[in-house]
Parts: sequence; C-alpha cells; structure tokens
Amino acid sequence: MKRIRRNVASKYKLWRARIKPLAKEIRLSLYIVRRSPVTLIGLMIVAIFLFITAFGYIIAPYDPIAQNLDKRFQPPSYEYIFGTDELGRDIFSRVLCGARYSIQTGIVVLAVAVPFGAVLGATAGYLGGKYDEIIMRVTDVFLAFPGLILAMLISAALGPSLQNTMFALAVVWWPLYTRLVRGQALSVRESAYVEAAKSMGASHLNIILHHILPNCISPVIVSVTMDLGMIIIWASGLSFLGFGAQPPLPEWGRMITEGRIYIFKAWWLTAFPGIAILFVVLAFNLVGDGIRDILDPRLRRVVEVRGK
Amino acid sequence: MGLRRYILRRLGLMIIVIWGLITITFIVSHVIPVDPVALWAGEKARMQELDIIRKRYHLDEPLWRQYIYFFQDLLQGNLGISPVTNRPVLQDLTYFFPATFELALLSLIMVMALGILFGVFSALKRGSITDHLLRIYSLTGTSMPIFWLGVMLQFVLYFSLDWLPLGGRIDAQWTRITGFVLLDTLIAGNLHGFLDAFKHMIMPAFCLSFSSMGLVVRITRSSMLEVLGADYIRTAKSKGLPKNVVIYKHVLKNALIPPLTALAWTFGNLLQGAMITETVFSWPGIGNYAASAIYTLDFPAVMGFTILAGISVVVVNLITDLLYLFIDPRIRMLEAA
Amino acid sequence: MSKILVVRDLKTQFFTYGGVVQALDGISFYVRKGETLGLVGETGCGKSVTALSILRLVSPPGKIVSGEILFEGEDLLKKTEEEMRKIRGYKISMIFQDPTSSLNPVITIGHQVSEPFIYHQGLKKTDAEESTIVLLKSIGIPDSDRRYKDYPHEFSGGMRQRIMIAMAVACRPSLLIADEPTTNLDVTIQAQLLELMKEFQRKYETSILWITHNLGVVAEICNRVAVMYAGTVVEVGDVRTILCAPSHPYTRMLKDCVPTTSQSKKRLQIIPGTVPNLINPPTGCRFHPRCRDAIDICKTKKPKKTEIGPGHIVSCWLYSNNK
Repeated sequence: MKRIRRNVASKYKLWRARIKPLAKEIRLSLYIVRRSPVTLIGLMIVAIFLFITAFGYIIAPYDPIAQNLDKRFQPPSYEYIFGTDELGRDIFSRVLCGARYSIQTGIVVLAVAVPFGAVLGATAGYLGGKYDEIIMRVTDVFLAFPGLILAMLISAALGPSLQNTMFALAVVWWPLYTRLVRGQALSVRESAYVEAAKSMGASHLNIILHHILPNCISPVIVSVTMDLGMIIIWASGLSFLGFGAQPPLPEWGRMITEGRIYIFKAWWLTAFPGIAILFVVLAFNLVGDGIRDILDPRLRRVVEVRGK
Repeated sequence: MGLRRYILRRLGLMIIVIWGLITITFIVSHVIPVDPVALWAGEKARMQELDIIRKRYHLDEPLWRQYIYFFQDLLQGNLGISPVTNRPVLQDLTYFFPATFELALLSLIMVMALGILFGVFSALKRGSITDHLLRIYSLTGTSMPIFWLGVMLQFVLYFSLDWLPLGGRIDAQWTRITGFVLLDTLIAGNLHGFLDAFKHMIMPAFCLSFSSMGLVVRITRSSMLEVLGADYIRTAKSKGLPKNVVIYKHVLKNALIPPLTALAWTFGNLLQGAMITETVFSWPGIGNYAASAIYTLDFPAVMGFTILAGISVVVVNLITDLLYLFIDPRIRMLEAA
Repeated sequence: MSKILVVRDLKTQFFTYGGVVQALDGISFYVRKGETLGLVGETGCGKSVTALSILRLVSPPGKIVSGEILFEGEDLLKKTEEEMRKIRGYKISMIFQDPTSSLNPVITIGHQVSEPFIYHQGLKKTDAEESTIVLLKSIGIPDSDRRYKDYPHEFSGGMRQRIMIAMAVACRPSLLIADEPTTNLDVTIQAQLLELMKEFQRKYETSILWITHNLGVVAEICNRVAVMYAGTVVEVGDVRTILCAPSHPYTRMLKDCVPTTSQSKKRLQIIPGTVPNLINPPTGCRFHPRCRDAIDICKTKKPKKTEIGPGHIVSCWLYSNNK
C-alpha cells in the first residue's frame, strides 16, 4: 500500500515539475496578449464570429432562404436590420448564416493543406539530397502558378461549387507550407537531439514526426492564423467570380456578386456581406499578429526582463 | 564567374518550372468531367457541329497525343485558336495585354513608391497619430476583399459623388497605335483623351494596389524599426554624423532590402488581383479575358494565358533575386560560395 | 594634470512598463588628460550606460535625470543636440564591444572610416579616402588601399575591431571611450589591440575611459580604476592600490574571485547572491545584502564618499566616521 502511494506521489511531483515551466510560458503569453488591446479586440471579434458560426441558423430572425416577394429591396430598418434583397430575403439573417461557409472553407483548406505540406516539407528538409530536389522542384512549379488562376482552373474543371473551391484552395495552399517547413527542417536536422535520436536507431519517419515537425511548429502557427483570413478572402473572391458557392447558399462572396447588379438601387445588398468579410478577416489578422508577438523570442525576452 | 553560373542555373530551373506549369494546366483543363464542346458551340448547335469542333481541337484523340500537338504548336509560336472568340489566342493576348500592363504598372508604382514612403514615415514618427493611422490602413489593406472594395468605390465615387467614371478604359475617342492608351493619346496630342483615360484608371489602380500597399507599408515599417535599433546605427550616431546622413545612408540602405524583395510577391499579387479588378471595372485587359476564358473552359486561351502569366512571374522572381544580389553585399559572397 | 572629464552625481533612469530602472544612482568620477581610467564591474552594473550617458546616446525609455558631465570644463548635459553632434566622433569617440554588429554591413569599411574625416574635418571625398588608407595601414590592416572597398563581413573579428578603432581615432579625439572592446576577441588579438591603444595614447596624449570586467586587462592598460556596483561607484583609486590593496568589501571580494596559481587547490571563490533588481534596489548601500562586513547603517543610509588616501575614494560606511 505504501509503495503505491509513494509512486503516485513521485509521479505527481514529476508532473508538477514538467507543468511549471509550461505554466510560466502560458502566463507570460497571456501577459503579452493582455498588454495589447488590439489583439484583444481581435480575439473578441473572433469569438463572436465563432459563436455566430455555431448558432447562426438558430439566432437568425428570419429563414435565410425564405423568399418574400412583397418585401423586396427593403432598406435597413428596425424590422430588417440589414434590409432585404431582390427576393425579399432578410440580409441580416443571410449574413449570420453565411458565416459558417467562410470558416468551414478556411478550416477545411488548412486542415488538408497544412499537414500535407508540412510533412512533405519536413521530409524534404530532413532527407535532403535528391528527395529534397524533387520535392522542391514540384513545389516550385506550384508556387510559380498564380494561385488564384490555379484555383479558378480547378474549380471550373470540377464544376463550380463550394466543396470544389475548398479542394482547389487546398491544392494552391500546400506548397507554401512545404517551403516554410523545409526551411525550418534544414536547420533543425543539424541539432543535437536529432543526432541523438539517430544514434539510438530511430527510423526516419519516427524522427520526422517526433523531432523535426514539433520544432517547426511556431512559424506554422503564425502562418496558419494569417492564412485563415487570406483563404476567407480568396474563397469569397472565387464565389464572387462565380466559381465557388452557388445560389441559394448565403455565402458572403456570392451575396456580393448577386447584389452587385442592384447596387445603385439597393446598396445594402453588397455593403453588409463585404463589411462582414472585412471584420472577420481583420480579426483573424489581429489575432495572428498577437500570436506572432507571443512567439517572437526577442519580444518575450524584453518582457521577461522588464517584469522581473 | 559565379554570377554567370548562377544566372544560367536559374534560367535552367525556370524552363523546368514553366514546363511543369504548362503540364499541370494541361492536365487540369483536359481531365474534366464536363464536356466543353457543348459550351463552346452554344445552345443551338447540332451534333455534327459538335463533332467538327471536337475534331478540330483533337479532343477525340488520346490525351498524350493532344499534349504532343500542343507542344508542337507551342514551339512554333502558335498558341492555337480560341473556340470562343474564334481568333488566334496570341492575337487576343497581344490585344488585351497593354491595358493590363498600364494598370499594373500604375499600381506597382503606387504600391512600391507610396508603400515604402508611408512605411518609412510611419517608422520615423513612431507612436504619433500618423503612425497609428498608417498602421490601421496597412492592417485594413491586408484584410480587404478587393472585389468588394471595387464595388463600393464605384458606388461612392461614381454613383453618389459622380467624380469618376464607372468602368471601362476610356470614353473619348482615341486611335490605337501601341495599345497603351496613355502613350497613344500623348503621341496624338489628344490631351482630352489622356485625361479621360487617366480618370478611368484611378479607381481600378487604387483598388488593385490597396492590399499590396498595406503589406509593403507593414514590411517597410518593421524593417525600419529593426534597423533603427541596430548597433551599427548607434555607432553611426556616436560618430557624430548629421541626422539625415544617418537616416538616408545608414538606415535606408539596410531597411529597404526586405520591401524590395516584396516586389516579386507584389507582382504576383497584382496579376491575380487584376483578374478580379478588371472584372469589376469592365477593364478590357487580359485579366478579364482570362477570367471569362476559364469560366467557358476555353482551353487554348487558358493555356496561352497561363504560359504568359507563369513566364512573367518566374522572370520577375529572377530579376528580384538579382536585384537582391546587387543591393546586399553579404548575399553576393554566399551565392559565390 | 588637468581633468578632461568630470562626472558628478550622474543619475540615469529607464522608464519601462515594469517600473523605473535606476541604472545610475548618482555616480561620480574623473579622467585626467592623457591617462586611462578603467571602469570595472559585473555585467549589468551600469558601465555601458555610463558610456552612453557621457555621449548622450541613451535612447528612450532611458533618460539622464540629473547630474553634471564636465568635458574640458563645459557641461555636456547643457549642450544642444547639434553641439553634441559636433563633439561625438571628433572630441569624444566610442569603441563598441561587438564589432560585427557595430559596423554597417552594407557600406564599405573605407567609407565608414572616412566619414569622420568628411563630416567633422570637412575633407573632400578623395582627400578623406587618402587619409583613411593611411589610417587603416597604421592601425594594422594590410593592403589598405585595396581593402578600402571591402565590406565588414570580409574581415575577421580582430580586423573588424581594428576598423572600429580606426573610426574612433580618425579625428584624434581628446577622450576615447572603449566599451569592452576586447571581450569578444581571443587573447592574442586582445594583446595586440592593447598595444595599439597604448601606443596611440603615447603619441597623441589621448585620455581613455576603458570599460571592462576583466581585471587582467585593467592591470595591463589602466592608470586608475573606478569600481562600479549596481549603478554606484564604490571605489576609485590608482591601479596599484585597487588591485593590490583594495578597501571596499566588494572590490576585495572581486579580487578574491580571480584564481591565482599561488593558491593551493581550494574551491573557487564566489560572491554569494545575485545582482539586485534595479527597479527596486536595496535601500541604503546597494551592496549590503551580499556584503560580509555589512553593519546596521548600511541597510538604511547611502554611504558617503571618503578619501582614504591620495586620489583614493571609497563609498563605504566602514571607512567613514559615521555619526
């Protein structure tokens, strides 16, 4: 009985010892975030945005696709906060419900492109030699392609739809991460712990997954937060041009292109979805900036010295 | 010696990359579930017409043979005939190119000149109102959907205020000599046309440069701040050098390196932005041409446009890298090694 | 001998988010014409801040709060920025610790060294170039006419430091401030540079304020020494006295820390504790928490300066006749 208790106690102490530096890091990060009001605003907007994404359809006052032909082109009023469109649909409800398509696209694209690109980049950087050459040449080809054109091409080829847009954007985005991670991997592979792992007989895959990748994480995290905003803009841009979401989906880019015809009659059809995009992307960029400040080793050091 | 070898190596890579580009475009545009021929011929076409078109574009033959036909034509300088416009693609491209070039050039100048200027200013006046305003602008710039910006600008500046024209390139009469409307109107002494063309260009150019300028301001500002805090600037001050010598010689030479490398990125960005901006403002350039070509699955046009875009991006990258070599003496040594 | 530099009660502080860092707490010392004063102390004691304060190069959030810096009789703290600019690099020059980061990487070294000639002596570019080539040669850089056009990264660390020295001495300044110039270099280069500096001093009667934490260098090149601790000057005297018969407890402990071959294999001596936080410095004498001879009054009142020998000043309650 005593032995078990002693084991538990020592395990707990070990856990505590490991958690302590992590806790200090977290506290430091929060301190930096707290000191930057701009990042906080960004976080707030992102939080609101995520809330709307989850509960948009529930909190929307009207059905986003319900048409009401008596109430077409109503200007913003108490009854219809953002006004109504050419089919009498409430724009406020449509904007609320459209949130999820943007974030969905962003998440799906990154969830596919980042792991694929990162693993490829880590492999290229770590293995070096001809593997590196081949992988990087292929990556270069994709990078030489103006991304929007490639995305448009793939969307058009597969048939315009939101899903195909997601796939197209993932194809455009993965090379960025390959190049990013490869650069990091090149410097990481010279580290002592990689040598140690190799000398213990770890397989290449093992090393890549457990040693190389985790140490390439921080620029990837910064890039992901910045890219989320970019992807949302691109996805809505593609929808604007007709390649992405199709009617009657209340996707923001789609709404702008549909409302564009009537802009001189009813500006509210295009104004509000665009403002939504602007705010959401702005928020993600602010948060991305904040995260970059947190992860910037120089800034951390300065804050630590001051706070001591 | 090292420089020549470097350029040759880059050119070799360039060719491989462009070949890869062409191949991928080819595969994507040909391996599709939709049958483009019906799209091209229009709604009223009959089966025989469709067959004739199919034969003409070798669509009934295996893919690899189509690939070979394509390269045969390409190496002779023939980009094929667009089934949608029924004109040679090369002719269409050269016709629409100047409009985009003018627009892109104006935007590029705005982005680089104003972007760097604002960034330097922002850093030197750190913490002031100007700095904060410029930072807000650069943040908004990178978050702005330019298609929406274009539409809103049209609403405000054309519809509400009636200051600028809605779209298109020029309303007045002009004779086409080089295709560059600003140049042609000047050559012909057509001042009215020149001003008209310029007025048409303002909104699209501003729209196109908006987000790139934001990024350049940002890069320039942070680069300036980093250099201003560097040890060698402290040394320069300790030597008692006059303030503008310190800034213009010591600081700028170092601080302008990152923004200059943003040039290549800006160019690519402008190319893509042009497709959207030209659509919004009905600008008769290759961006517009390409967007509609993709939409109608016009293979030859798409291939032609992609080759053009790919080559220009790669060339601009090479030029920027060479520029980088010239500016930063440390890189010269690294590359020669 | 006249005093070329007199620092009196200099107080420099840094106003940061975490609090006000009291970097220099009213320090005083002087440098006579033609001599070398060593400024010694641990990392973080304020040596570099002192140097920057003299040249008024302390950047925000730092600020010189009070005190006097008399250079050739005139108070530098009362001068305008333009007047200071004329003095920097001309009458007072500074050599920095890390030559790699202290030289502009994208400007040729010839250009950087000739700048003092151009902007202070008004030489034309070609004349300045000639003078620079001669200067570089005298400082020990071979082929100076070819290497004029080279960039800093094309030189070794020792060479770069020579270039920095060349920049500083170009206009024959009356006072040279050297902020740990040999710390980053290996010992052989260090010896060469020390010889170079001594020769220069002999020829031109330059006064040098030599900042270092290396007592060996102090013994080699300094005439007098000022010992700093946590933003205060604790002891000043000539080099023999300070190194062989120090009075202040801190100086004594510093001396004990230097291992000698004459000692038998005992454990290395250390000074227990750490450097204090300058946002909340200890009350009274800043050294008292680590001092083995501290008495009650040390904890509450700042020690007064007492002259216990010719030119030998100590700031310690042990030596003043306290009331």
